[in-house]
Amino acid sequence: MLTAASKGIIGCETCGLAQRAFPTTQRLVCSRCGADMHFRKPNSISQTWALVISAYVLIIPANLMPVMATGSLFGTEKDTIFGGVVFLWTSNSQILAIILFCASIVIPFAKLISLTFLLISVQIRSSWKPKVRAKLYRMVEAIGRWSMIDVYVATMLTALVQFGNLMNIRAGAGAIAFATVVVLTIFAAKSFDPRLIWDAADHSKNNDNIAEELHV
Amino acid sequence: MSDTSQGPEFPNLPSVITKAQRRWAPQLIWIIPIVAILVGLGLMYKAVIDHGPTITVAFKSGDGLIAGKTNVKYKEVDIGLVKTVILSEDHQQVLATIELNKDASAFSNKDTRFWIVRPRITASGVTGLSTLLDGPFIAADIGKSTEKIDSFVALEVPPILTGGTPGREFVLRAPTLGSHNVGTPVYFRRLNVGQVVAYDLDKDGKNVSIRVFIDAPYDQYVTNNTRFWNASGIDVSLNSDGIQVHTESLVAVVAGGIAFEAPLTSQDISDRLVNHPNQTNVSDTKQAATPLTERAQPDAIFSLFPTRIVAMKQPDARIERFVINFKQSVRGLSIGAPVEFRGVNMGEVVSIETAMDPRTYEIVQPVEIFLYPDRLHVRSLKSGKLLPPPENELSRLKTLISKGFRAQLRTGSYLTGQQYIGLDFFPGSPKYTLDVSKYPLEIPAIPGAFEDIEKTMADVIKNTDKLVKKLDDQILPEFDKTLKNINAITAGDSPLQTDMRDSLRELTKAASSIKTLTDMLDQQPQSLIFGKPPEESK
Repeated sequence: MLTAASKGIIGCETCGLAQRAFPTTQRLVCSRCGADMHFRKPNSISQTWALVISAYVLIIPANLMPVMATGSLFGTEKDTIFGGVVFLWTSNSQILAIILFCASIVIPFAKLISLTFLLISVQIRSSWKPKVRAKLYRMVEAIGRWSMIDVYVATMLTALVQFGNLMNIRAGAGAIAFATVVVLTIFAAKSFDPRLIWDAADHSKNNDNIAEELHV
Repeated sequence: MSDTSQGPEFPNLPSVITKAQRRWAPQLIWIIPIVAILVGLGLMYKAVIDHGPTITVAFKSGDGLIAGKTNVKYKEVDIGLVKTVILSEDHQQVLATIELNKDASAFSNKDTRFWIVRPRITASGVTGLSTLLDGPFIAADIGKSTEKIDSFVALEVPPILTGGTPGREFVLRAPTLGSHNVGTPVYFRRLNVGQVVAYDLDKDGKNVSIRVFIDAPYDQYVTNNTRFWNASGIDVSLNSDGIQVHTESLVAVVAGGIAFEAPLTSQDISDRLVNHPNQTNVSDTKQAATPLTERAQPDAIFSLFPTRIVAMKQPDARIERFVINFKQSVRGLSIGAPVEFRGVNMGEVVSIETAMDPRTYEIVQPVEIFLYPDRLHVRSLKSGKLLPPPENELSRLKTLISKGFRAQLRTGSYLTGQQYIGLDFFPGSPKYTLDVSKYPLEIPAIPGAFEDIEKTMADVIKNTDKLVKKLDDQILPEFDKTLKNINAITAGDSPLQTDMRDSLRELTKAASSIKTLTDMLDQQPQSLIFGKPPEESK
């Protein structure tokens, strides 16, 4: 597949200006806005891997530890994300339960799995349906931030519901882990360079010289 | 994107500015996963470290137990959480799996107690009100055992005392539980110093063991010779002493209670007497110097007496058994009736039987008694000093019996008819030789005073009876004959009657002539001398 890089053209990631460039060891700077430019994001795969692995590690406590500790006259209750889903479902709020389940459990996991899939497919230079993979990547990038609603809710409640002994809500350790997971996946999606998808596809067409160089 | 193929044909594309490459530490990003892994491992380690033992507690009812929510508390601090609540296999119990905190692992000690705290109203007050709002929780009381187990049976009722309360526990053994219950107060000189914490039927079913807890400063007064007695309710007893009513304080009357006290030993009494002249000085030093009676060990066993009087009886170290063969009715004598010597209680009746000699067909009532020989102090009559008891009890008894020592059935109360056995000297009583080979030894009986009266009365009645019979047999027929004769005499046609009539007529005549005489004399008294005057003068 034809890529700009293979033709010595580079697009500025900040202002979008396409410029002519040559493979070089020197730093490339956009002639218009002065931003750093790369043919491909440097260390994209390893950076993404690092973030994805971190997210994988932290998603475990995020789901096992309580997100919110609700203290009231009736004692303290600690809820995990899944506990909240179960609570909503059993208290006849199935729709809310599904939303919470999707936003807080399905999406983070789906994101991580998708990123892992993209990373592996790029690393083994798979040429399998690059358009589908590109679409998947765009989806991952788009929905990533929505997982934060859970964190926002916890944060808002913690800030608002403070009535001393009567009722108070504290964010649990799970909320921090969960927020970290969401942030990490957002950064992982950012650090992943979707152009690599096309490189791999290109490489399958024996255009590996440039690709090889540009990967570094 | 079709025109990207013309990419190279864009000559007017600006060129990128190249600058010297900045040296980046390329793999800095990997710090993030390393930190994440470290944090994750830390959390995992903490979870593993914090993970205390998991125990199972069996409850009778799972009321209010919620998996994942019900806490286990000790001194109002969370020490664990109920993880699951399931039914036991036989569906008789509710098994709650409890995950204890790491620092609460001591709560898996074998004798740790668990119970559900619910609002509870008892005589001692209202407890567990907070659980009305936030639901019941499981309370624990840490055990002291070093043995660890993982399955417990919860208490039905919260224990009165939880670990750490200073004081000591003692065991009281009583034939019945009486009106005691868990929480029944224990009094020492009318002070509430403890309470009943548990009771249990002995395995043989013959006694009840009541565990009492005496709070710390007072437990020192529980000594080895302390007596415990029932202070509950009103004790009305009817015996040969008449009707007796004993009560403790009003609270104890209503709520029941147990009281204890150490009886005064004879040494105490003599100490008191000795100390009397300058009491303050000596008694202080004495108290410090003489721990007369040692503090009882925890879990020491005492017997629970029914009343204070019974409890405070002097302990009788030596008991001797005797039999008294009564040849009379022992009605009114009961087991436990006192044996008194001149009004001093020396023992008690332990059995009353009836026995027959198969050869002579003589029937006696053997009454077995316990005598406490130590109650008979040996004292020099001259100096008043107590002397050690004689070594040969048997010869003493022989001598006593030869001096007329006898047992007698006596009436303690004419109102109730209760009888007791009186011992005394009857110098004139028939001779008796003690048969030493028999066991128990026999104390000869002599008829009681009341029995004597009875006998005399019977004799009198017997004599009267004889007299009546004699009257019946001999005198009555004679009397009958006499009456018949009288009848014959008084019949209408009897010669006596006729004679009587004649006689009466003659008598009337005589009377009238006397009347004439007297009349004449009245009118003419001279006639007595001059004779009858002539007719014409009349």
